[in-house]
Amino acid sequence: MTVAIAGAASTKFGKHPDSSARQLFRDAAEDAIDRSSLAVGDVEAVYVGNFMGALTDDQGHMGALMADYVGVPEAMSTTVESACASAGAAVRQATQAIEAGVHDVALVGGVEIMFSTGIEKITDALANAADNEYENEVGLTFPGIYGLMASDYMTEFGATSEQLAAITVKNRENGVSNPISQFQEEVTVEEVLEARPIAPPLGMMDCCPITDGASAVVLVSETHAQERDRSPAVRIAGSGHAGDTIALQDRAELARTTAAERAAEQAYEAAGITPDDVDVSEVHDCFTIAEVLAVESLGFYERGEGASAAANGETAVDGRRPVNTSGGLIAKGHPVGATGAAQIVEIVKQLEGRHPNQVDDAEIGLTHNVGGSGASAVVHVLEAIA
Amino acid sequence: MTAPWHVEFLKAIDVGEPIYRRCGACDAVGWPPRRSCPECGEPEMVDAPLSTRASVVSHTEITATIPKFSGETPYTVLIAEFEEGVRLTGQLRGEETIDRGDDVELGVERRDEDDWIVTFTPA
Ligand SMILES: [Zn+2]
Repeated sequence: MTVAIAGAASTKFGKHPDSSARQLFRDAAEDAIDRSSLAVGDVEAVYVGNFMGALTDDQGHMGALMADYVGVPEAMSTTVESACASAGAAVRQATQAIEAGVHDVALVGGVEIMFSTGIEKITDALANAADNEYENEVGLTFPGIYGLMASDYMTEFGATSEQLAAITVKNRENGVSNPISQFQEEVTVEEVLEARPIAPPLGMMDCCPITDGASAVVLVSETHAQERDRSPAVRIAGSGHAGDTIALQDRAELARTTAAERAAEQAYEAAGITPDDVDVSEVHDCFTIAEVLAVESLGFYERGEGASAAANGETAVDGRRPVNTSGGLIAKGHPVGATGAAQIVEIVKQLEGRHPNQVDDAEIGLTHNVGGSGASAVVHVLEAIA
Repeated sequence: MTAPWHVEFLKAIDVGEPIYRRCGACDAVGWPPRRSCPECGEPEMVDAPLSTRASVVSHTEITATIPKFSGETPYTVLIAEFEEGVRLTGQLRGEETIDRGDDVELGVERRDEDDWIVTFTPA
């Protein structure tokens, strides 16, 4: 049974000091359900990606809370937690449940409230995605982990800070026209290079911001959609989800995300496509180096060659391989538990032909969602329904 | 909170008898408290003595940190590889900077009761 995306929406990403997790999720869900032409009462199951509610907001049991406030308290619900890949994992689990015939209609998304918490506490909460004893206890922060990966990559392959900066420049430029984007101003390579060092070679502008936001998608079996005379425009053509050691030190190569390689392979095989068939992608650029590792793990570039992609204009909206036309995590923002669903929302807009940074004739799109330093990776291939 | 196995691991470094884990079935390496081998899946990983000299693989300077290390920035964190094939993460001591390939000596520092930190000092 194939699974279609009947509706998809995100809230504005950024600061929401007057809102809360349950309100933001409901806003995204309401918008997604409206777009689906289904009714709230049609939702049989709710899958919610969330990472730090229990750590920063004294709120666990997010699945039940969201189902309740969306207006379907009697529906089955669950929280899916795979660090920054939580919502990607949630989408995949809901898809599989529909494929198995368990539900016809599922509401899937994610939400995170980060701003009101304070930077040190957020850094602490984010560190929970790493190995507590072997990483956090020596003062290795999350940007620090990616700093180690970036340092290793640059030494190994001779990549430059200018090449990494070009990724921020591209993604910030894309963010300007995306109404939900947290950052809506362009930046220059010089500004990125001169930004405050965070974990060299990574500086402040190599990092995604802290973000409040929610995203939601309505998944429906295509058979059910046909019975209801609905014609969703996008289907999930394939997906993959794989893992790796949780601590960076236990990997043979620091500058390589093999979980994403495996997830991509599974997704390509399920969709019956090759990397060259992908017209547009949203990848997990929590740091500039992460976009480099992403395009290599997805098979778009050979190892060591991904760093030049943005600098050469190849991953721009009008390039031969558009990546992060939404602005990515770096410009759009990264509400951790919502990001995997937010990426799906952006690709749906591309395949429906209504994206603010529309790629010409986009028919096949991909999302790449990574948890921690790469211990979890989820890849989805989406296609326009002809 | 540091788990009991971790305190034991750090104390062994402190008394100059550091250990790592090796798989009795396939020779894969890892760290305590691993028992199931990440390579072959057999529950045969056991303690083995570790050398104290390692080589720097990657390093970065932390300027924004978690509450526990508040006020201690900047400090350098590095991953170093031992001749046994295992890699370990720790903080740099003794020098401000370090390069890939430099030799470092494994150590620990006691911060508080049962709160220790892995350190590497240029050899
Ligand atoms: Zn083994």
